Amino acid sequence: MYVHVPFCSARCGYCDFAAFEGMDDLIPDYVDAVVEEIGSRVPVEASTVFVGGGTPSVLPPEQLARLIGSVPRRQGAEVTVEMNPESATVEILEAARAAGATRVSMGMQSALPHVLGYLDRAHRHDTLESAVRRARRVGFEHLNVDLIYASPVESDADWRRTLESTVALGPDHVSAYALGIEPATPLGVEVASGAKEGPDDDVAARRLEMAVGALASAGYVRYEISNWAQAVPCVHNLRYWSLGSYVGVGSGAHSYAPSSGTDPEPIDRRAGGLRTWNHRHPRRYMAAMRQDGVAVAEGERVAGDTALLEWLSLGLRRSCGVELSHEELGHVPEVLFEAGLVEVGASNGRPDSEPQEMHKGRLALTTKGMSLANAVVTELSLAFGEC
Amino acid sequence: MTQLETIRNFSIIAHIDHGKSTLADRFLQMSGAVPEREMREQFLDSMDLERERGITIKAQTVRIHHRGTDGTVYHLNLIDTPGHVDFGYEVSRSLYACEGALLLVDAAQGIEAQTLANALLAVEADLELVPVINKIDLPSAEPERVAEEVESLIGLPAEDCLMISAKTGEGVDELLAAIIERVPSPKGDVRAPLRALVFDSHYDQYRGVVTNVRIMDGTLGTGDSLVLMASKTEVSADEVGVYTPLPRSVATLGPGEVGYLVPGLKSVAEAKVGDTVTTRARGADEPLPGYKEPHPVVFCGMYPAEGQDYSELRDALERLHVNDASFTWEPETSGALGFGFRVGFLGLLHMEIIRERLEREYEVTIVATAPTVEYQVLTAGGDQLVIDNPSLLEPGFEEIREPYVEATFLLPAEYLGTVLELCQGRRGVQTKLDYVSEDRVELDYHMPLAEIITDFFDVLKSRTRGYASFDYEPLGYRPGDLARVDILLNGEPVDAFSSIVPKDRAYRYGRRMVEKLRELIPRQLFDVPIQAAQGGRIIARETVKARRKDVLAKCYGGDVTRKRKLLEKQKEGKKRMRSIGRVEVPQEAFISALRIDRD
Repeated sequence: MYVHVPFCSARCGYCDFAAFEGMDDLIPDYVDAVVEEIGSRVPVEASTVFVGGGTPSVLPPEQLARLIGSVPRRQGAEVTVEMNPESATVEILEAARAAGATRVSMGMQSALPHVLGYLDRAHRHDTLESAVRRARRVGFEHLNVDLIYASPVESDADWRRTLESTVALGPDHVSAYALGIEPATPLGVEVASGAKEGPDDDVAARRLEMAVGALASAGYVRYEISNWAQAVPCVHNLRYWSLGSYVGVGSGAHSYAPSSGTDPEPIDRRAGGLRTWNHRHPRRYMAAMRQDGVAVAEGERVAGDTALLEWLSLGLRRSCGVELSHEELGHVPEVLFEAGLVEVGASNGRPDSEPQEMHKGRLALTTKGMSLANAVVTELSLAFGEC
Repeated sequence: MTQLETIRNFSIIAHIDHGKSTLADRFLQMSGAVPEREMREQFLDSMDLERERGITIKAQTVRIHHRGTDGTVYHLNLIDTPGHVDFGYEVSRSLYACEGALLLVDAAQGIEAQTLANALLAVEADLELVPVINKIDLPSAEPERVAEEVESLIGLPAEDCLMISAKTGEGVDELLAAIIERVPSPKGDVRAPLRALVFDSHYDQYRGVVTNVRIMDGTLGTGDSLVLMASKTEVSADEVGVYTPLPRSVATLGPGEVGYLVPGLKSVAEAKVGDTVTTRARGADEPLPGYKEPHPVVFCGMYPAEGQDYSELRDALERLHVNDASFTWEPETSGALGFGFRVGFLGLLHMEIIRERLEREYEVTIVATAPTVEYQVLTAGGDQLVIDNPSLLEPGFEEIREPYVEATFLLPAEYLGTVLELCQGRRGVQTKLDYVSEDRVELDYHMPLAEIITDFFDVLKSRTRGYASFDYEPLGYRPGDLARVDILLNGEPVDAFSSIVPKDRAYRYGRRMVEKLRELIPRQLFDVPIQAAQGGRIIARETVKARRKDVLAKCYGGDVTRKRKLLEKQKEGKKRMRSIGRVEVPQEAFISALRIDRD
């Protein structure tokens, strides 16, 4: 289950999530509405919970605890809460922990003040360091930090320092994202008008290579395009990439129910499923819950080539790739192998030098292929669409 | 049948926008031929394309009844001719159907090059020229200066010029009187075997081919058994009639008359412009002189856009050919573009018209290669070859010859320098420079046709802000110091990009091509070298660096739908690309790369 908290103390220029500042007076009613929605939508116990935002740590500790506590979940479920360093107080950390949170994801973004400034982030690196220390003291062993690279004010040296600082902090999980410019954001508008410089693709590619090197030598394993873990990946996020079912509650949250019911990893890649999403604005969401007891705004049934495209584009984000039949492997365009973008391994995960003799195998992106995932997926879905 | 003495056949020679259509409309209105409420804006130009571009592509005719000052009712046949150099042959046939021509000149603009060329054609055809200066109501009109220009350029006395305003109607009565007085009535023997000149033919979806004819001798009646002498096609006159301007059938057309004949044919190729119609029984021995097969001078490859069918394009070409027999087409195969056609045109405008009609009327999307001329090649082995596709030119030939034209310019003197420079840069050799008035210059150049078929018009227009007019006529073939330049993508030559250029310009041309293509070809999964080669030697090289990043940074539960749409868009974009070997080339590259400003 995904639980959305749309509140922020300040919105960042690059953010295009359903997040709003200056609406804190809505918090009690919003939490009531979400708790009601949780009660109405979950037929079984959740195996993972992710409380994201927005900034969940801006909630009063007791409200956050109420949210977490109201999700029925299995024994040993992974429960992640996103927090910003400046609001990750002992109180909120303890409240989360007590309510059952097992994991904290911290928005670090960069270790350098000028990069944080470009990104509109309010904290300084020492704030983050002390937040991480607090989280550990409270008892969180699973800790993620989010990084953003390739902003135009960042140099290679800056990024190397951020990576070194990250490794020095020693979280057990790291997510690193290239700065993306979304048109409908303040930063997007500034870049489009020429007021601010945007990121450069070649620079982003180089920074990603730096991250791959630095994190690998520090013992992190890259299990998805933007995610590294020392030992334990984020099980919740893996569910998205394997097209498992999930229920999203709160404003703007998406839910997905695969048609096949196979959960996760569909057998029929074209079967698809039903995706729905809630009203995006918190007021609208709350009104819908109050009036109808349902907050779904729209949805789409995904099937056929569209479903295949989703399966490929999500599945290939993982370093384990996707499982293909012998016949399907034969349709993989040769150019992808020659350009060194994909490789085939045995179904059990061991590399095999003669894939054509296998009954089936896993197709996965190479390190180079991960930087060009869109191009690979486009090629593959065209090749598979024709067969 | 009409008395010969009461017939006047004439055409109007005018530059675009000098008021030909307005004058024709005014004639129709004065004769009461078309009720006011049915008057369409500019009745004569009927094709959409013609209206949009303000040019006449197909000849049109209309019969006007006018009572002269002597009380006789005269039959004035206005034969509207295509105004463009590409259709010079059609113009000559239309003029041959007339005894006179109005030389219509804008009182503010003066004579333009095209008008001059057509006026000279009319003089050659022995037509009585009636100079008319139009738009005298404009504040900027300088009728006296323009009359002097008429005298100095064409040799018609300035005082013979009629001053009119087709818009207000001023002077139009006098003009009609002058047509009756100055244009000779046609001659012809009603008892001689039928000889009718086809001066236009078009395809009508209900009646099949409709030809416009001028009866020279004999009579043409509905139901007659006929033969087209050049195409040796036997037909019968399903319908005979005149344009009033709406078609109205008549029993018989006699000598000197102009009208239409519906011969029951399914393709205009069987009733070409210039052919002679006679009767099967007691037919004429000799056809009318001057028939010519249309001869294309500009060629390009036309290929279906990706995803579209070769057979759809073939059907469209077949159907259009029924309507316009003056372009040629034959299948060709390109390594880069697959199956398509090599299509020949009368000129550059004709090429644009055909392309536009194919896309607009037949709804096919075309990738066209750069236009080229037809080269004559003498091989080392002594064989004579004709080459209309640059990729077919083998190196090691003995001699290559290319078509030349005589280009005529009329321009304000202030642009003389820039036009001289332009012509010099296009291998032009000046043969004439005359001041036709204090501030207007006539300029003649001999230059290769290849130099004017790409962007010459556009460059001339922009550098002279549209004030220079330009026309050309063929001069025959001359040897050239030419070489083939190939473009290689990823080491593979791309035939559709091959070009024949002057040797001393090969390096610069190759350089520009590879630079342009580097901009047009998107980054791929691997480095793509783009090379220009001449005779196996690489003369220029650029590289499209491999794409290094093309990935969505994050894709969690709430992002899937939106990010999938981005991928779908990317997939669509990829489908619109042409794959040449491993390299994906956008369709635009084939057209844009060829519009290199060479100066």
